[in-house]
Formats: sequence, C-alpha cells, structure tokens
Amino acid sequence: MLWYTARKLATAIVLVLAVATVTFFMLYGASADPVANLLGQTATPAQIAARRIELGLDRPVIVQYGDWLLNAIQGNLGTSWLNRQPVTDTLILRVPVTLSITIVATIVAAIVGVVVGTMAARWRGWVDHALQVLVIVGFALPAFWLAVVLSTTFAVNLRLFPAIGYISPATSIGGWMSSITLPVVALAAGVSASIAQQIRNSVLDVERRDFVRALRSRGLGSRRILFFHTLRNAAPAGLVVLSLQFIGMLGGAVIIENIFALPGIGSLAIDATNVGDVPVVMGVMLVTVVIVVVVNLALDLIQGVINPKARLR
Amino acid sequence: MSVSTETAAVAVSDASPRQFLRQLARRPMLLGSSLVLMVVVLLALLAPLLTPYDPTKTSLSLVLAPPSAAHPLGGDGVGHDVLARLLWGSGASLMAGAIATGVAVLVGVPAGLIAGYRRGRFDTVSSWFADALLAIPGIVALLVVVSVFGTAITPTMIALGILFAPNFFRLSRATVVQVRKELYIDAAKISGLSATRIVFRHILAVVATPILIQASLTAGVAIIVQSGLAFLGIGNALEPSWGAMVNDAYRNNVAAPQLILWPGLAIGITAAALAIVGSSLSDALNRSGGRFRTARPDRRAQRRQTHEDAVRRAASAADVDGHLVVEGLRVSYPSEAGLREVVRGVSFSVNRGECLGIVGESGSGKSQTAFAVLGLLPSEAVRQADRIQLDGIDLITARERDLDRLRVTRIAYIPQDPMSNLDPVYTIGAQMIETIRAHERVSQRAARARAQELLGQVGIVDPARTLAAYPHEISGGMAQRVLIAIAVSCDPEVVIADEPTTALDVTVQAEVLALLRRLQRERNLAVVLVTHNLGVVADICDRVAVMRDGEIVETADVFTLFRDPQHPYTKELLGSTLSGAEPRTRLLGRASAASRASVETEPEGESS
Amino acid sequence: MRVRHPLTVAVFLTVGATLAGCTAASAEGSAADSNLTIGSVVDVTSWNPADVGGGHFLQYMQPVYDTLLQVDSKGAIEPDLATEWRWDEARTTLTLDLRTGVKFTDGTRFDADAVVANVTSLKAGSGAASSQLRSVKDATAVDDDTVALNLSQPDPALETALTQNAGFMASPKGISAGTLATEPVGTGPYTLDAKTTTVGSEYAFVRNAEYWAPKTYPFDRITIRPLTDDSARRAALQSGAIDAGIGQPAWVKEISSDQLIAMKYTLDFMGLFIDDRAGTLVPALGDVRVRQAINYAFDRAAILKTIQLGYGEETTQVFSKSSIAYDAKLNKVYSYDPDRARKLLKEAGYADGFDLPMPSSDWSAAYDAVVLEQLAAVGIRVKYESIPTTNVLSRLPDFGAHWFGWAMPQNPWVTVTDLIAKDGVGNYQHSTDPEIDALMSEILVTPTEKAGPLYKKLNARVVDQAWFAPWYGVSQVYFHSSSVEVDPPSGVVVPAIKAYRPAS
Repeated sequence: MLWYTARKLATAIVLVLAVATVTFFMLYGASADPVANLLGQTATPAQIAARRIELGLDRPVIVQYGDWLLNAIQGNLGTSWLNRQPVTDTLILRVPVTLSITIVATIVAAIVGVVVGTMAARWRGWVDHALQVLVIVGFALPAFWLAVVLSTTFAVNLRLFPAIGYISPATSIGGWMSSITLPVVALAAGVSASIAQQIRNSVLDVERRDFVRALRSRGLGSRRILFFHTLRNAAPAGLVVLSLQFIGMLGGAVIIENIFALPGIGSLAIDATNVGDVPVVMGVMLVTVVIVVVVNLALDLIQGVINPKARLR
Repeated sequence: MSVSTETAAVAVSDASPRQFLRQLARRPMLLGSSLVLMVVVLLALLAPLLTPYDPTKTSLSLVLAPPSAAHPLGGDGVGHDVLARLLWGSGASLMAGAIATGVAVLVGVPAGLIAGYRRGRFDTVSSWFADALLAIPGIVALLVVVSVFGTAITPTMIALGILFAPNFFRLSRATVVQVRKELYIDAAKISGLSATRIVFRHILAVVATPILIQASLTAGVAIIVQSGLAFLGIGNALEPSWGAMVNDAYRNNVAAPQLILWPGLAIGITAAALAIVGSSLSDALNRSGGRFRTARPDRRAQRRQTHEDAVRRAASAADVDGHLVVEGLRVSYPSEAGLREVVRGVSFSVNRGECLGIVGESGSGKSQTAFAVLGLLPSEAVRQADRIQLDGIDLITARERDLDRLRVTRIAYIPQDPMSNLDPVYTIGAQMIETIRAHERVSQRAARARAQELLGQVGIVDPARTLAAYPHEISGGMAQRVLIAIAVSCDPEVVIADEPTTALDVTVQAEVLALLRRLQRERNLAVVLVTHNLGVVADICDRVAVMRDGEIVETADVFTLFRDPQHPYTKELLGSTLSGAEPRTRLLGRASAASRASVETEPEGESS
Repeated sequence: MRVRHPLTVAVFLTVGATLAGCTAASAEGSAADSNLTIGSVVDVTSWNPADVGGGHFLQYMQPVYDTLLQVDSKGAIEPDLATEWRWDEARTTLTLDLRTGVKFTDGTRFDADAVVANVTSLKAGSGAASSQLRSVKDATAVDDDTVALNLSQPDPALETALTQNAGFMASPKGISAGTLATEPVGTGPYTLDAKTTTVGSEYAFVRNAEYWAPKTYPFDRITIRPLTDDSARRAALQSGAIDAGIGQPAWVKEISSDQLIAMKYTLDFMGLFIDDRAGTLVPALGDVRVRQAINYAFDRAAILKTIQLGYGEETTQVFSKSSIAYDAKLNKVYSYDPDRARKLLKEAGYADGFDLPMPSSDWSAAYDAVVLEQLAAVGIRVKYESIPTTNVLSRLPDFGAHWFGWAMPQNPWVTVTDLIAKDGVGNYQHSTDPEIDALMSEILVTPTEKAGPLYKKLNARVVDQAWFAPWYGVSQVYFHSSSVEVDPPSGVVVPAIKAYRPAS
C-alpha cells in the first residue's frame, strides 16, 4: 500500500511538472504581447517597454522558465503582471471559494445521485423513466442558463439568497451556506443526474452478478444485500464518475463564478486569460491540476479501502 | 476471469453492425433521436436553400426586430436574421462537434488499439498520457489555448478533441484487452494472420459500437462546450454558430429575452438527441438492461394465478411424496415473440438422505429449475408451478420475508462458479459470519468460532487464515469449499447444488464431490445435484432425472438408468459419454468422477 | 430507507435560505446605516497610485488617497491638498501651496518633500499618471509647504491631471518601502480595512479618524465590489446587494423603479478610428476623399437608435461637448449620404471599392456587423480578423482602421495629446499634418481662457481630414438606489466617491 501510494505520488509530480511546462511554453510562445493589454489603451510604448523589462520578459524564454520553476518549487508562483499581488497569496484566498462550491456540489450530487440512482434501479418504473429524462435534460441544459435562472428567481425576485458574492465560513457559517447555495445547485444539478444514472447502471449490473443471487440464497434480505453488498460493489464505478465530474465542475466553476461574482479561481482564470496575466494563468492551471491529482489520489486510496483487489495493483 | 465478464464480452462481440441496425429499428427513442439528428444535418446542408438571407449580413432595421412574415424569428442584437443564423449556425456547431469528436477518435482509438493489443512500454506510456490529459480541467485548458491560438472554432475544438481523446483511448484499449483473451483471436493467430489484420478484422468490428456510443456523447458535449465558451465571450461573433447566438442573446437578454430560446433549443435538442442515441445504443448492447423493461410481468397477478393453480392441483398431486416436492414447474422469459418457456412442467421429489441428480445439456433448463425452486429467478422471469413444497411448506405462495427465513436454514444452495459467487469486497469470514448471524442470535465471536469450525469440516487446512482472506486470495477449490461451508452453516435439510464442480480443476473436482457425499451422509441431507456430467451423477447420486428442452424425459435410480436407459435421449447421452468403447461397469466402478466425460464440449456459460 | 422524493436539494435550499435571512436583512438599507456599497466593473489591480489605471480605477483610489486638486460637481477645479496654485509667465512652472497639518495614516507628515517623492514615483510608474505627467520634468520643494512642478513644455491638461491619477499623494514611507501595491497609505478620508476585505470580492474602507475634512464624506463605511460580469452586476443592483453601479441602456426599462434610479451622462465617443492616414497599410486610406467617404457612409442616427437604444448624441467630433474645442456646426459636415460616399470613392479612383482589413474582438462584437454592412453599401469590403481580447491593444497598429470607443474629457488638451499628437497613444500610425502641428504649438503658449478659437480650428481640421469617423457620444447609464444621491461625474466614467451621499 505504501509503495503503491509512493508510486502514485511520483507519477502525480511528473504529471504536474509536465502540465506546467507545456502551459508555460504555450503561453510564453504566444505571438502577441500581452503587456500592452495589461497597461491599457493609454499606455505609451516607452511604458510598455519599461514594464517588459521590469517583468523580465526581455530574457530568453528558457531562462524565464527556469526562474519560474525554481521559484514555484519553493512555493512562490511569482507576482501577477496586472496587480502585483503574489500569485500564491491570491490563490490561497481564492482556492477555498472554488473548493467550497465544487466540493459541496460534489457531496450534494453524490448523495442525490446515490439515492435517486438506487431508487431507479430498485423500483424501475416511473422513477427510472424520470431519471432517464432528467439525465438527458441535465446533459443538454447549459449550466450557465440554469445559473442565470436561479439567480433571477431566488436572488433577484424572491431575495432568498444573495445574488452575488462569497462569505467565508470563518465570517459566518450561515452566510457561507447562503452564499454558495445557488452556485452549488447550478453546478450539482446536471452532475447529480449523471451520477444517478451511473449508480443505477452499476446497481443493475451488480444485481445481475452471481454473488448477489448467492447472497439471496442465504436469506439475507434485499435491503441488507443492497446496502452492504450491491452499493459497495457499485461504488467504485460511481466514484470514478464522481471524480471525472469533479474535474468537470472545476471547469463549470469558471462560468458559475462569473455569474455569481464569486472570487474563486474560475473567475480568476477568465480574468487573467482575458488580460493575458500569464503568471496568474500559470498559477490557476497549476493549482487546478494539483487539486485534480490530489482528488484522484484520494480516490485511489478510497478505492483501495472499498475494493480489496485494487490494493494489489 | 469470471464467467460474468466473459459473457459480457461475448455479448459485445455478438453485436455485429447488421444485428445492430435491426436492434435500432425496434427502438423508438433511438429512431426518433436519429431522425432529429438527420433533420439537423439536413437543415445545415440545405440552409442556403431554406433562407434567402446571408447569415453574416446585417440590417439596422432588423436589430432586435420582433418576428415578422419576412423574418419568422425576428432579428438579433446586431441585425442578423435569426432564422438564417440558426440554420447556418447548425453547420458550424455540428462542425465543432465533428472536429472535436473526430480528433478524439483519431487520436484515442488507434493509440488505444495498439496499447491494448501490444501492451508493453507503449501501453504504459500512452496510458500515462491519457491519465495526464484527464487530469487537466477542460475549460481552463481551453482558455489557455484560446489565448495562444485565438478564438477561431477550429483550434479550440481540436484542443477539445485532444482533451476527449483519453476516453476513446481507455475504451478501445479496455475492449481490445478483453477481446484479445477470447479464443477466436488466438485461433486467428494460429491460422497465421498478421497482427494488423487481426486488429482490423476482428477487434475493430468489436470496438466500433462502444466507440460510436462514446462519439455521440462527445459530439454533444463539444457543442455544449462551444456554446459555453461563446457565453464567456470567447469565440468568433461574426461567423454564425449557435454559440455566437447564445452570446448575442446573453448580451441582449434584457431587451430581447426570447433570443436565448432558439440557440438554446437547438443546442439542447441536438445534444439531447446525441445523448439519447448514445444511451439507446448502449442499452441495446446491454441486453438485460432495457429490453425486458416493457415486458415486465405483473408480479401480483402472477402470484395470484400460481396460487390458484396450486390450490386447484394440490389435492390431485398429493400422491407424490418427499421432503422437497416439485410439480408442474414452468419457467418462461418474455421475449420479442412473447413468452419463451425454458422449463416446461418439471416434476420431481427428493427425500432426506437421498441425492437426486438432474442431468442435461446446457440450455436444457436444469439450472433454471434449480433457481425456480429456490425462488432466485431474475425479476423478469415468470414462474408457474402446481406445487413446490418443502417439508409441507408451500414455497410458491410464501412471502419473500418467509422465504428468507427458510433459505440456508432449511434449503441451501451451492453455486456453480465459486469465484463469482463470493462478494469480492468482503473477507470470507465476514461473509460467513453475516450469514450465520442473519439467522441465529449469536455473538460475533460465537459466529466466528462456528465459521472456523465449519471451514475445518469442509477440509480447509488453515481455517483462521482463510477467514481473514478475501475471495481473490484463495483458490477456486477453496472457494467452493467455503461456499459449501456457508450452505451447511445453518443446518439445512435440503441442498441444491448447481454444477458444483464444473468450474474446478479435475483433481479438485473429486475432492469436492467426496466432501459433498460425506456431508450428505453426516447430516442426512436431501441433495439435488444439477449437472451435465454423468460421471458426477454416477459418483454420488441415488436417483437421476434426465432433462431435455425444459422437460424431464426419464427418471430412474442410478443403477437402472445406467444399465437400462429407456428414453432414446438418455441412451444418446450415455453413448456420447462413453465414446462407445468403454464398458459401463468400469465407469460405474470408478471411485472418482474426475473424467472429463461430459455431454457438452464447452463449459456451461449460462448464468441466468 | 424509503425516500419517496429527492428532498435533499429542497432541504438544502431551505436551510440555506433560513440562515441567509439575517444576513440578507442586514444588508438592505445599508445606506441608511451610513454604509455605501458600490459595484465596479473593474477589479483593482494595485493600490499604488503610480501603477493604477484611470477611469473606473479612480473609485478604488479616492477613499484612501487625496489628490492635489479636485473638481466640483460642475467640473470646475478646486483645492484639495493644494490650497492655491499659479502658473509662471511661460506656463512651464506650476507652483502649488500645500495644506498644512495633514498627516498620512502611517503618521508621516504631508509636505513639499512628500509631493516631490510622489511626482517622481508617479512619473516612473506604469499607471495612467505617468503619461499624464509626461510634460513634467520634475518637482522641487520651494519651502516646507510650497512645491513647484517644472515642465519641459506647457501642458494645458496638467491641472485636470492633478485631480485624477497624477494628483494622488501616497505616503513617502510606503513609496520607498515598495509596499503600496498591497498596503495603501494616503491622507484620504478612509483606510482600507484588511479585516473585512476579500480580495477580488469586496474591498471595505473605514473612516480615517484624523481626516481633515470629515464632513465632505457622509458615509462611515464604504464597500466597493468588483462585478465584472454584466448579469452579476445587474442582479446585484436589482437585489439591493449594491447601492450604485454602472449599467446599460437596455436595463433601464427592465430594472429602474422607485427604488432604483437610472441617471445618464456622456463620456465616450464611439466610432471608427481611421488610423492609416498616410496610406502605408491600406493605400486607399491615404486619400482624404476615401476617409471622408467612410464618414458619409454611416447612418449615425440609425445606429444610435437601434444599437444604443438612443442613449447618446450624434457627433462627428472627438472632443467633448463640454470642452472649448467643441463646435456644433461641425456635426453637419458629414450627414448620412451613401451616394456622396460612392462619388468620393470614385473620384479617389476606388469606383470598385477596396478591401479593408479590420480587427474583430469581443469588445467590438456588437458593432462589427453594422460597420461591415454600412461600408459594404458604399463598396468598401471589410475583412475581419478575429482577435482574442488579450491581444487587441497590441495588434491595433497592424490595422489601417478599427472600431473603438474613447473618452471625451472636458479638457481638450487631453484629447489632443492622446489622439492627435504624433506620439499620442491613440494615434496608432503616428499621423501628422502640418496645419494641425502649427495649431498645437500655438495652443501650447496660449492661456486656456484664450485658446478656444484655436482648439475649434484644430477640431475643424481633424474633422475635415477625417482622421476619425465618430458616430456618437455614448450616454453612460448609472444606477443608484433611492437611498443614495449621486452627482454625475464630469470627464470621468464614474462618479467620485465624494459625489455620493445619503438621500435626504
């Protein structure tokens, strides 16, 4: 298990490095010069040139890369070209926001998905049909549309939730919950449906397996079989989907954070790419990949706990 | 590899494209959504004929214009004809989906095929790349791509295709790995076909359908992603595309909220149609998935009817005696051509201390008979019987809860394939203790002691270690002993063993049979032994029922049957078993049934 | 477990809503509690005045930093940290008398040396102040509370500049420590409250207890929330999460009410920049008749009505209506006349029209189509290149013409230096014209009071030479809640912080 974890960790580090390198050279190799854009339309060429030197952009790309990498390893992701804030500090402030909504949305989606999926597999009939429809709707319905509708209905018209902004749980737990409710629902809606679908299929698959019949032959009762055996065997497939959906949510957060004006890394990503704030884009890319890698690692470990066979790999 | 995955693989390989088309025709959802897609493609192709307006031309008089006769959907925020944009835009959006999907397939499938077929270093490296790509959050990566390559649809969609490629890689790789293990590939190898031809002729045919499913979903996602990027203002607003329309609608969502409707519907309907095509295709593949759903029998009516049957016939059938009595058992499954009967009126009985063999070829209905008696048929099956009685208790009308109380405590089951019949995620001990404690109020510790003792009784050398082991950590023979131990753990009177030795090695078969025989004697069990192996029958059975096509053609005690078979089918069975030459007495005298003598050449694969 | 309905979502919603109740309630009527929350379309990029841009960014600076001069609600320049100021004869030295007894919030004294340090820092920075101070050679301390700004050439825009970025005074200690970007220290009415500030979400300012004129600022607490997304800002205005914020014409009908008031003021002009007046990139544009034809090709009234919903005023000039350069007569020069445009093109030798490459980006998305349409009608074939917003500014010099919006400040010299001077940041191909150059030199040595006719001549020349094809001045729509009163800004895009007060 330890060796397995260590190997996974090593792979993860190589992965993070590879992504960082590719992103770096893509961004710095871009033909256009973002500095003019950073300084705005009233900047003079002399100012632009001075800022380029200040940012160290006159050096060879490979030197810039080495410099960035050395600093990054020490936890210093440089400073934003736009607002001079240390990228690391900005990320420390913003990552919790994105994680708040994506993790809570994942948990909500997992609970809803498992309950609905199990019901659909167990009862079939209308629940199952409804689920199929919901999955299609959830798939085809753009998240931004749902977000706009939620915002208009619950924030603007009913005023049940704030339309914008994020409240840290350190400030107020209630405020935090109300500030993330609408974004979480917008994010989790489609995901819940697809997790429910996955759980439904896995439960049906597992129920068709021989050992479930063997368990029934021992008079264990259908509920016990469902909760202790079927769901646990169906869980790995569900977890894989969940982790993929989590990655998808990090992308979805870009749009959702924009609509609800949440100061997370999604809105940071779009702002930074819009102005060409390369160090911030790098930082966002890096931190999202690290989050994904950590989530996958955690998932592997959970899989190991659930499924003894996975421990052998 | 377990039997269930093998059958799944066979199911995949069975689905040839032509059969598939036939399946399509029978599915209204699939047909409908395919039609929708065709209409969308047609609209895209015929856009120049369907609308007189140029989708890039604007007119100030059309800015946010309401619908009119000349412009049925009105004008957008900059004065395009919305209908023209919608029609021409379908081309761009479909192209976006096609590019992303095409790139994903072109990158993912060949790599997956090679990785799965060749394995080795290429597999390791490409799998790593696939994992790496999957770890990259899509929209963030696309933002980077856009800031480098600009906002044109093509580079963005190529990048998206590359991000999707791992899905295709994994899918084709996994399918190839599975298919590779199947016999016909080996056979093809032996017959001297080159590796590439093997890949293309056989494997490609098999992976085509799952890839089609994945591709339809991918295309839908790509269209949605394109609109999402356009929503964020990333994209070319001049070229007509649904995404650009969404962006325009969003800019004007206060002045003209209806504008979002058209591109929204177009995206939604197309993506939904693609998703339905995908899921219907996978349903069609997954035979036990959706197919029986519509034909699901009315369980209550069914029970009422069998009950009536039972009451009506109980008196007349009472002459048959035994601890377990089965009379007029019928099992059928819904199929496209109505109910298909697989067991047609089977009757038998067995007493304590007696062993009844039910012998027949694969597909003769003998396993279905066993499941029907135990009440373990799959939910879509229809069971009818005049009588199924255990020590006078009616098993037909019994509720599930009452049946659960009888199971393993009075009537137990020993399955065919030991490995697939243990829950892989629990230890042997946990599964044994669970069974014991489900039926008896004993402490965890007492149950554990009993389990350990039982393992000792079934001949396991180190019971303590086996208790702590997971199913995949023990051999097939051990697993079968474990299953036998579980079956007898709550002191049943009747044991139904379904091909208990088929999946085992020759030497182990003999040991397991010996164990069964010993337990039967020690515990005075009534045993129903379902098998295709006459050697096994000869070894431990007292009486034999020969089954063919769902019917029992002959029942006799074992000596009579072997010496003087009455039914021509029985004779045929015996003849094929003995290959003509071997004297019957030699077979009967054999202490073990270890011979590979069997009435069929392939291992029995049916599991339901 | 028999869950009959997927209740979980509903439960989550209810719990969230209940808990939200108190916070939402306390947020409302914030103006009455002497709190002001403003929504901004930009997020502050730096707290160092030397690095920050103009326009929208000013609101972030004003709570913390005082300026040397300020404008009143009518646009007249009045004292702030400088109590009096005067020009020398040659108009190359501006002497300022400084307010005494003022301290920065870190305890440092505000004096002539502090001004010198700030001017040096502002000039060297990358913000808007640097170009505003380009004619300032240096600053010298005359005595403890008198400072002289020495200019390399006269600059009629300097006083206005000192009311904006070029006038912000930061603590010399902060300047030398290099910490201003994240920790602003000024003499202003408020200080940035790090405790209740969430970077990127909301910036909170609390009163500076030692401020020298507290009554000018009625609010105890000011919060600025960056809301870059239009729909988020609209939802924030509608839900009362912010008391004021910039909006769009289309919103007026939808969201304005008794509680949410829309006001409008003109700032930017929109239209075409015909950059390549020498014809280097697009030879056709070198001919003045072609540039005039472009001006005749646009139906300004129709564009204003349909795309801008009438929120604006037609113009053919790049100077503000409130400036002394403005001449109403010039607006009649180019009336919508496609036939005339075609005739001019024919005379210039482009009877069959010509190809005109132009950039297209998210910024211009709403206007690209109409430019294409109206120029096509006279035979000019616009070929768009789609460019990510990131690269637009750096790519503009590659095109002969582009669609753009530009501010029309009250002080005409700002427009001249930005758009008309050879090295102006908005003169992308560095065009020159002998007549324009002569007028500019003359304006420089003329006192502002007497420069009106010269500016008008300059303006007429620019219009005649068709350096631009302006469409209209845009009416900026600004929303504020009825609990707040706001004076419209003059010459900047958003009101100054002191322009807000609780409704009486």
